[in-house]
Amino acid sequence: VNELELIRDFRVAVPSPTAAARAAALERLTERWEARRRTLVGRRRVILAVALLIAALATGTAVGLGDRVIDLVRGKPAPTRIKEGPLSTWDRPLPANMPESERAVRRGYEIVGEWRGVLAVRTSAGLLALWKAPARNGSVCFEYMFTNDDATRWVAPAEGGCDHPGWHSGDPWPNDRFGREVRKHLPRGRPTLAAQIDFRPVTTVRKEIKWLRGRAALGIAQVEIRFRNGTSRRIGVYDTFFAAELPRESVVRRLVPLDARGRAAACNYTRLCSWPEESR
Amino acid sequence: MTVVEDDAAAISASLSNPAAFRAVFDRHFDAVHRFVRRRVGSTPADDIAAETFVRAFEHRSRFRRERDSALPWLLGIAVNILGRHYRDEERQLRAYARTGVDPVLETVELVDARLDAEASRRRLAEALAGLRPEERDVLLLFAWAELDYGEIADALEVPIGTVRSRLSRAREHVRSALALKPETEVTGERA
Repeated sequence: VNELELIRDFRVAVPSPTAAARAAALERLTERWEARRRTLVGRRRVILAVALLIAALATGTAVGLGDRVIDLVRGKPAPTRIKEGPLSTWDRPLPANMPESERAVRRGYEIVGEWRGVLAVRTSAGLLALWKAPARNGSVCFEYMFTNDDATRWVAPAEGGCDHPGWHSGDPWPNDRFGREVRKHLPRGRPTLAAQIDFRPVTTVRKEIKWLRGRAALGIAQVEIRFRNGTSRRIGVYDTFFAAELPRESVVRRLVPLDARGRAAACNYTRLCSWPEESR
Repeated sequence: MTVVEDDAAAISASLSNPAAFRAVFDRHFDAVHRFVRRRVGSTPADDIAAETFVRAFEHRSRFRRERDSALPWLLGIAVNILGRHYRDEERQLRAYARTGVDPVLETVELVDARLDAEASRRRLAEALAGLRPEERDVLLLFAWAELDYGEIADALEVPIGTVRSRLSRAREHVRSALALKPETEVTGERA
């Protein structure tokens, strides 16, 4: 007999725990894991709430809170039902009686690429979306329109047009009215901001909105809208385009272009850079 | 119902589903309870065993998942809690050595065992009472719970060399108390 055998035999007759002891222990453990489970559920709810909040904020960027720029259309090809709407007018044949000189100019604005989304803005009259496409002469043609909520179907046309050559390409300013205007306001430099404020009737929803739209030079990331009442608001610039609905009673005193770091850039060309306030 | 195959899987599952820890309780409660009861008796054992599983549950994220069985880890927790009862344990062992009546075997069914207490067991009780608590922990985890050196080291969170030396000293102490001749080395590596 060695000591280990004696030790192994020592109190070997101790019985297994009673059912009562086992049940009591299990109850204590169950209480603990129930408390833990409630904590986990609570924590999961918090995580879910935070996730929903983040999703809401992200969606806020994506689908728009108020009139914030949204990402529903950015960079995406125009859906079929959008192309069949106002964009289809760009493909119409030129009238047969159009003078050849004008015909040549119009041919320069023939769409030679795909229409792609630029931005979308939530307005009180619905979603206002913008698509652009390259033209034969190197300029960019664009078309604003009101759409359904997911920007897959157009509701009402808004505004459209094409760049004048030279706006961004570095080409010499043309000797047309636009070019002459540029040279008058900006004899030595390039424009940084072009903007206008309109009242736009949206007949489909029987509303009229006041909206700001414009172009900014490359490198301009935001535009700060300063109102006469002392408040201000910043809106994003996407592919040089920006747009926002303005409160009807608001008066814009000044637009300030901002670079990606939020620093004010020189503002020129648009009257809202230097004029004391908008006039209507 | 999900069947959790091993302790590591059950403990992992319990991190997101606390009730999965039930599998660990079902598997090891009896072994933990018996070990503790052999050392300090029924009443403290009920409380210590229950507390062991509550603590294990609270600290389940610390379980080393490469281990197959959670038993050494659970016994380590139990030994830790037993630290509050070392004096009681020694008092009971000395009472048994003095009177021949083991307070730990107090149930009616065990009356024969009490009466059958031999002098050698009383000397063994005295020898166990005379051990340092940390040596007694190692010796009883080795002899009663049948853990190997590595498992004891894990359970007590001490180096394996410490386990060897404590076990060696404890056995030597017991042998000396029982006036037994030294035996050949018993390996601590179990299959």
